[in-house]
Amino acid sequence: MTGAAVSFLVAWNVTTTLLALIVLVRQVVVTLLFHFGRRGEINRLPSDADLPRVTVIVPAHNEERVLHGCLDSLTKMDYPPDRYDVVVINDRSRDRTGAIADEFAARFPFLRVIHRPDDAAPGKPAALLDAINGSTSEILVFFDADYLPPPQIIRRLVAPFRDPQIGATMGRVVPYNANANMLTKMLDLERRGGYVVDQEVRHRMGLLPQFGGTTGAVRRSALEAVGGWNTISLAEDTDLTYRLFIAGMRVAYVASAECYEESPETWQVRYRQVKRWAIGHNDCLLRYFFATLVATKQPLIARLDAALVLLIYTVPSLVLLNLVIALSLPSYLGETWAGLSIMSLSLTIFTGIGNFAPFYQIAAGCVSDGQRRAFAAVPFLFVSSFTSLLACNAGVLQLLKDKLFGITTQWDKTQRFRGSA
Amino acid sequence: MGQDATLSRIGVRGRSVVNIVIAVVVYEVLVALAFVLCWQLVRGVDTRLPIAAAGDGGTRADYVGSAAGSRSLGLHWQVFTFLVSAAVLSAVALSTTGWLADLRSALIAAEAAAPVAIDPIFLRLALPVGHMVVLLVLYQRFRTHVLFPTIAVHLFLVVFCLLVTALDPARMFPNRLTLVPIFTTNLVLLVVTHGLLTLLFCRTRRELVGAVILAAVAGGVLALGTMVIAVVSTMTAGPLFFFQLYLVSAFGVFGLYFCVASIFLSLWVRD
Repeated sequence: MTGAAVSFLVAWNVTTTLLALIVLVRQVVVTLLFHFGRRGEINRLPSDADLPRVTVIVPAHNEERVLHGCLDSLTKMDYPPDRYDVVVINDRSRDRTGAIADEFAARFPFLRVIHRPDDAAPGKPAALLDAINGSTSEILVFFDADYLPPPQIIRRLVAPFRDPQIGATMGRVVPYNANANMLTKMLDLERRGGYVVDQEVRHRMGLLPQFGGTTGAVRRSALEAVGGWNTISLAEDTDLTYRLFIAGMRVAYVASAECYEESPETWQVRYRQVKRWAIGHNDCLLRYFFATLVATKQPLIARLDAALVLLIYTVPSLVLLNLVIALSLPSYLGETWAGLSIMSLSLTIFTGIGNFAPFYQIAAGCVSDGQRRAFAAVPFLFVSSFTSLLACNAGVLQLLKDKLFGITTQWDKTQRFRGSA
Repeated sequence: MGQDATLSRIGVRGRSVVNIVIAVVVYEVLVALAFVLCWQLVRGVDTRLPIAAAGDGGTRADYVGSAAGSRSLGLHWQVFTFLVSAAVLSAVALSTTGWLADLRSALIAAEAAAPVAIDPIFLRLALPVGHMVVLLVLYQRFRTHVLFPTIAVHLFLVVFCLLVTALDPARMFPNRLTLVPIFTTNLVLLVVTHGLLTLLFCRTRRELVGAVILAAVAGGVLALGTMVIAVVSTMTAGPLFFFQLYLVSAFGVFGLYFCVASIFLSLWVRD
């Protein structure tokens, strides 16, 4: 190996390792800010007179196992009936999804069904666009078909829209099948870290909370102002979040808007889910990273944090690559100061980011939820970490391949596990 | 006479191979046993969170004030305990490492003096290759198991390291300096993690004292782990065999403390 090649590898390794280190430090700082910072004011619900008209959109592709529960919940909402309607999109389903939706539509006049034909554009974003175009409400609320929204959730999600700067809101997602197996237990812990702590701190500090595409609401005029719904992206929610941010609008996280969801119960399903997120998220990274940094309508700290968050699905690839580089360096480098530093940092970051970076936020989340005992399962977090590590790397490779050969990445639906319909 | 010597050498070689196989099996079984025991301990803990918003009262998120809530002792006591814990952890780790270094030297000298007529390269490769064989078996049998990605990543790393070693045999030879990043890495991670655990979980005087004791335990674990790495590296895998170091480091030293501390703290302190 030539000296120039070694120098390049060392420089690359040190730079990217430091980047990953910043992510790790951010996790720790966010944890401390959450734990010791003051929470916001009590989220007062708007009175009936102040409530806007909303359309709830439920995309469903082969969801016969779970759709009934979601629609049943949506028929029990605490919201004025004259300002509330539900649109179910039966997206080319091969099972009883369409029939179940039609049964509900026959019983509840505020619920209607859009049956998408077999030759319609595939994917959830395209299905959502059909529903958005078919409604007139100013506020659009989204739930996936496996979600079980509680009665007051829509009131809570629309409350922040009193502020005209708010373009979207996002609630908290809670897995209902946390005790199913080791994986679901770990995913439940990850959710605590991500929602209870990270989203909350981002909201509290005036940074950019993520609109997650479900258990969330969007202001139609804001959506139109930033160019409408992106049907090409695999992470249309992230795409919209960053377009709103760049346009000077804000996303509000509503911690009290809690909603049950179903977590993947097998590593294969989780792998495909994270891989899809990694492709979509990294696609957004390529498109919005620099635009985010120069979004002058937003505070500098918000821009920096938003850009850092865009890297979340890239870091696992950088970290693994760095470890591989450190392992590959010629043995004579191991005796030098530079070699030792590289190996030490790579090892720290691989251990820290791969297994323990989310741990601090999860611990704070468990304390906040009054469930410290849940924290006892944290040492097993490596189970989901390695699944995510593999999936993120596969996602990055897939995205690079698709970009290189001009291929459109296909949407991959998440399999459900609830008992048969 | 010559025939007796040859037979004796073959006998010694046979015993050495058996010893290595036993060491590999014991190592793997201990890891699996620790994993299963910890999982049995925590699997019964119900972590499902009821939806507060579905109720008729306020929600968790409607609470005002900090998540830290009211503390029996103030934040300054927590920070003070954190600093004391960091000092105790570092002091115990450094002093115990120094003390164990003599023991390590004695162990290595005893091994060097033993009449082992076996190729040292073979000895150094035995543990990682044995580990790879176990991982290969698990890889085939655990296709649908939730641990499969973990197995796949480790298999990739061990195969990669073996390939790199084949191309660069120099990394098989001893190099004392290699232990520095392992020790430093674990020390930093332990101090940061222990400090955060203290800040998040420990509020009463009893819990803060417990945090300092736990810091001393962490220092001891770090020193012991570093010695094990040193002995294993010198006698079997070679100090630059980073896969081995990574395994022992991440899931041996830090992982051990991590399991003990998190399970202990979460089951001990009250909500």
